This record gives sequence, structure tokens and C-alpha cells, in this order.
Amino acid sequence: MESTVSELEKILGSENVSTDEADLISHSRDASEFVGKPHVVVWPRSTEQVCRVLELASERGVPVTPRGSGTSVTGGPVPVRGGILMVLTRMNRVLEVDVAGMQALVECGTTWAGLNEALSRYRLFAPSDPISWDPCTVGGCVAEGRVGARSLGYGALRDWVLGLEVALPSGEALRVGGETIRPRGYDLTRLFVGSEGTLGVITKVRLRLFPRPRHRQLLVAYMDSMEDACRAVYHVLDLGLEPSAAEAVDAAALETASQRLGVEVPRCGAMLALEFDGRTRWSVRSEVRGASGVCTRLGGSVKAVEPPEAQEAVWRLLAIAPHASSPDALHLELSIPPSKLEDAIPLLREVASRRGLRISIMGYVGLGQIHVVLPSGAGDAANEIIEAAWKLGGAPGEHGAGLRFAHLTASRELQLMRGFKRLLDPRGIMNPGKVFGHEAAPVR
Amino acid sequence: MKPPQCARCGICLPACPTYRVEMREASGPRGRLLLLKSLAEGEVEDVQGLREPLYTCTLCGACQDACPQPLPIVDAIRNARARLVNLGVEPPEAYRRVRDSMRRWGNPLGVERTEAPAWDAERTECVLFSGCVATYLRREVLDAAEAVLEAAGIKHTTLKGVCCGAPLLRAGYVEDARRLAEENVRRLGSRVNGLIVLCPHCQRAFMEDYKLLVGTSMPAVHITQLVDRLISEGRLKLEEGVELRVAYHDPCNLGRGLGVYEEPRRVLQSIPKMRLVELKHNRGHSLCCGGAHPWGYPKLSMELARRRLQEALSVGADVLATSCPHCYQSLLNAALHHARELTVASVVEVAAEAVRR
Repeated sequence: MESTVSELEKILGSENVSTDEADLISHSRDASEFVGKPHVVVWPRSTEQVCRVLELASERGVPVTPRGSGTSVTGGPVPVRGGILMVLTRMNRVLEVDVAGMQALVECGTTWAGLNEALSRYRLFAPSDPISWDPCTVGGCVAEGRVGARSLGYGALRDWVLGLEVALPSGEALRVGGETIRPRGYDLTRLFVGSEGTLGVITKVRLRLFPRPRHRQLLVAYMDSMEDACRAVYHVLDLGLEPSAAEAVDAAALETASQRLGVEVPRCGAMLALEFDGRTRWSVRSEVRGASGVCTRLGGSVKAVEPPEAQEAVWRLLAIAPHASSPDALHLELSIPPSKLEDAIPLLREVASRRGLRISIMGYVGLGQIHVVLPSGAGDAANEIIEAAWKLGGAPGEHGAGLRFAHLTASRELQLMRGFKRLLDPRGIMNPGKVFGHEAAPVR
Repeated sequence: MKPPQCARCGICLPACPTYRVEMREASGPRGRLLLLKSLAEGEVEDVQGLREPLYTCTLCGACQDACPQPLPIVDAIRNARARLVNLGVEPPEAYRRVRDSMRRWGNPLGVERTEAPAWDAERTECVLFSGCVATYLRREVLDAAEAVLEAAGIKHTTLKGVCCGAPLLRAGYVEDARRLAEENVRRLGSRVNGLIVLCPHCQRAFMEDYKLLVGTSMPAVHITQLVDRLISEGRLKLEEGVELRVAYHDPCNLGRGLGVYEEPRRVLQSIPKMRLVELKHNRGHSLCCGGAHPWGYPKLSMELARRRLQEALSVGADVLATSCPHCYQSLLNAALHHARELTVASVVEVAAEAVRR
């Protein structure tokens, strides 16, 4: 490994390579319980450097684990087999903004906050998830195939990724997709979106942008249960109303998060936040009134939130909700077919209550994306919850399979996936153990 | 001592000024806490290697405000520094020089003591505790404070060249800090009706750290709080204004630390013709200017200050005012290199300029 490190220093400069124990330990975890210490941490600053590092790693058979801001809860950026941990946060430039074409080309380590700040002068925006856009990198989210609260109104991230530059283990920089909405031939861009760093390193992303809405309003509804919150979103959509974002949090998570922020919330079973945006205040208010009616008819009490800072406070409450209860909680991100979510929630709760556990559930209810927070050590319950979700047609949630769900990748797709993997990464150096790692085990 | 258990959610990362510059886990709160956890569990082989991650922390406290738990991260880092000192791991060279200078000259700046502390002055209405930076490096802050107090008719004794001990505590030399605190409390505590400070580090030391170090806290008022009060009571009039756009940099210790956000803004707004503009990161979201460790990591410190100056320029400010001598020194130094068109000033200086003579 020593000679590899000195080669890495030649490629990246010694200031961008570290074998210091402090760097190895501090990069050994994400927000999950998984641990894996790399042998060396590198911070490339260009695609060329990434390519050369991958070429070297391929030659020597050294594993490479790409990492953005490391906010995953599935172990995705944890280097379980050591090797090179590639931190991409220093590649953070917004390279191009095409105002007329409503596109931006960014380096992978750009944060959503950084991108939207750069876009602020153009009246454009990238409708990233309002709750985690600040720390998260564009490349990390694309690699995880993330979904956020605003995916309800603007589509999932994969719908607005037009093209990618991907550094392959061969050392080649591959460009897939481009400036056009429709790619040439197969849609290879979508192969890489959500590939979790197992096929190559996404170095640049071309994103479709949207006109920044002139008006935005939040409707906060206090419902009797998460099921009612789900129902409310279906009814809102059924009425032809078009929320730009939706997220709900149950009473348990709401209680700890509101205590942390020192804000008072009415007693309820769940809090639902529905965001509406548009060109005129009138049209936005009209949609809010429509949604208020739905929530009230379902027994909820509602509050319209208009000042931007008050809206921000609601999103902050939702952002901290999964992490405010316990620092060593177990996090499960699940994707459930949206129409089955209402039935899934009581099933998941039943699993927990049978085991005498208190869980909390939150998520993007209109999209069937949920985040289940279990107490530490509740591995058996977690596995049972995953099993129940899978029976309903569920899949890993917005943080991808990572290590958490790697053993569950459907067998009929496995062969095809392995074929792609072998083709692009014949020595298997890219983020080994993730997505379909054989040795991955159920939750402990 | 067990370090606080972190969920590693990463919500703190954008709030951390050093992480924003270095984009490196060990330079951010989450990485630092993971290192402390590993240290507590006996998993760190190279304890010396923890020095840089722990001492590059500016102790600004922004991570604590962002943390969903919230965890006492600043205390954890300070305790860890003290623990390293106890384990025989000396702080970085610059911090050792702070201790040596304190032992020799009574200030952390390596400046020969030229001011004899006026411990034995007559009992006056109050004591102006000038602190180290305003005594030895930025005398204009002290002069401005004196001028303002005189204009308001506040009788006081100025105590110059005495350190509050905060730099020792930040460096991890708890015992040295305790001895100094004992001495300050003994000589100052019983004699003072009102204690005015120019530096928020001194203020927090007196009000918070002394409680932990020696079991007594001393109430102290910051000069900008006092000036604000004097203006509202009609005892001080700021009448000489110049047409300028002034941005205010919230010092971490005064703002996040003591919740003093509005008083300096009110002082600036009370000056005729002056227009207050806000930096992008203001009040509780303010970012450290690097004044916290100018001796230890000058390059990092300079970059943190440069970013604050950039924010001021981007909102069209003519003046960047602050109310901490450390911040003032750091921003002034960076402005010489990166923003000569911007005037850096302390709020009390701006106020003193506006007093009609």
C-alpha cells in the first residue's frame, strides 16, 4: 500500500492524500451503524485526477469507495474493504449555467445550497430536497438516486439528470446523456443514477433546472395519524391540486424535534407539510385553501405558513426529526408503492409493538418514501419490517441499498447487474460490498 | 470523560467554518466527535495526531446550534484539549507560546508587559477591563471606549494588561487558567460595582468559565451593550454621522455565546446617515472570522476572515464593523491583503467618532 500512496501523492499532490489516523477514523462511518476504515483518504480536484486514481487502483486491485458528504444511513460510503476512500467534496464548482436551455453543469461535490446560490441571479433553481440540501452533494444524491419532498412536484432526481461524466475504473472519462432531453441510443445516464458508486465515479452532472417560483406557501396540517396524512395527500392529488412538496412526520418524532427547537405544536398523531408554489400569490393561496379543506374534512387542524423564514423553520423541524430522538438509533429508508403506504404503516407499527418497541415514521408520503427510526439494537425488528415492506413490493429508500439492503437485491435482476458491473469494473474495485454484495448480512 | 454521542447525520457540516474551508471530516464537528469517541474507546494509536483536528476547531459553537440533539460540542472539544494536555500531549507550538507568554508577561500575545495593572486604584463607579488585544494590539478600541465613557460621564478605572485566562482555557491549560481566575476574582470581584469589558472572550470567561473554574462568576457588560443603554437613556448622543453602508459581523462569543445581537446593531443604526446592511450569514448563522486562533493556524484564520470580508463586499458595505477585538484584528489583517477598499472598525470606534466634540 505504501507505494500506492506515493503514486497517489504524485497524482494528487501530498496535500490531497492522507494516511493520518485522524483522517482514516473520521472517514470510517456515515450515519449508519456500519464501520470500515480506509487505508488512505484522497481528495481529487479534477476528473483527470479521479481517472488516474481509478486507473492506478484497477492496476493494483485496490478498492475505491467514493464519498460525498457522507450523510447516508445505509453504509454506502463506508469503505468496508479498506483501500482508497475518495472524498469528492473539493470538486465543487458550478461549471456552466445555460439560462435559455435551463440547464447547469456542476462538479459532483457541489452542494445543492451552493448550486442554488449560484443560480439565484438567474431566476432558476434546482428543486432539491428542502430538508437536506445544505450538506448534501449533487454527485452523492445522483449516485444514491435520491428522492426528496419536492420530488412530488418536480419529479425524482433521475428525471432531471440529463447527462453525466463518469470516471470508469479503466481510467476513461465516459460522457453519457447530454444537453438534449432524449439521449442517443440507450439511456445510459439512468444506469449510473442510483448505481451507488459501484460502476464508476460520477464526476460531473448536467441537470435540468426549473424557473424559480415567485410565490411559495406551506400548509401545515396536524392530523390524527400518519395514515390520515397519507390519505390527505391522495385526496389533494385526486382533486387536481398540485403540491410542489409533501412530507409528514409522526407524533413521536415531532415531539422530540419540536422540543429540540423549543417550538410548540398542537397534540396530534402526525404533522403534514404541503408546499405549493407558483407564479401568483393568488393561485398559490387558492391551492392552499383547497388542500386546507381536504385536511380539515379528514379531521385535521391546519395552518398556512407564508413568511419564508417561517417556512424554513418548518423544514428545519422536519430535517432534524429523524436524528433528534437518539444518537444511536437505527435508520431504515424504505420505498413503498405509494398506494400501499397507508396500509403499510400499521403493519410496520404492529411489528414494532409486538416486540415492545417504540418506532417513529416520517417521510415523503405522496411518494411512498419513508424513514423508520428504531431504537439501537432492534435489528430483528428492522429485518421483520424490511420483510413486510418487501412483501408489499417495497425497495430500498432514498439512500439506496448500500450495505443495509445489499443482500436483498432481487435475484432475477442480479445476473444482469453483475454483467454490467463486470463490463465496467472487471476487477471489482468500485465500492465493493454495496448494492449486491454477497457477504452483506441482515441488520444487526 | 465520555464524549457526546453523535448521530453523524451531517446537519452540522455546513455550519462549521473550518469544514467549509477544508471540506475534510477531521476539520468538522462530526469527524472531531468521532475521533473523541475513538479516543475514549482506546482505538486511537497516534494520540498526537488528534492535535490538529482538535485545535483547528474555532470553538465558535455554530455546530451546536445546528445539531438535532443538540450536543455540547464546544465543551467536548475544550475538555478533550485539556485531556490531551493531561496525557502529556502538548498543544501545537503556537498555543505553547501562549502559555509561556502568559507565565512571563501575563498576556497571550508575547508582548512585554508595559502596562502596570491598576489593581489598587480608588473604588470608582466601575472598572473598564481592557483585555489583552485592546491593550497591546488594537489600542484604538480602548481609546474609543474611554472617549465614549467620558462623553457619557461614566467614572471608571481602566484595568489594562490583565488577561481573563480565556486563551489558556482554549489551549487546554486548565490549571494555569484556574490560577489566573482565582487571582482575578480575588482582586477584582470584591471591589467592582460594574465590570465593563471590550472583549466578548473576557465577558464569557467572567460570566461562564469562572463559575466552572473557581465556582464564582462575575457579571460583566460588554461596551456595546453599555453604549446601547447609554443612548437609550439619553446619556450619550451620537450626532456626527457619515453617509456609509455598514455591515456588522457578529462575533461568535458575543452573539451565539451571550445572545447579544441587537445592541451593536442599534448603536450603529442610531448614528445619523449610517445605513446598516446585513451579511448573508448573520446573527445565529454568523460564521467565525478566524479571530479565534490567529496564532495557531494563520492560513486557515486568514481564509475564514477573507470569506467574511467577501460577504461584506457582496452586500456593498463600505465598513465592516464588529465588537470583538480578536475579530477586529483578524478582519483588519485580512482586509490589508484581500479587501483594501473595505474599512474594518470596531462598533465602539464608530460610536466614538459619532460623538459631537
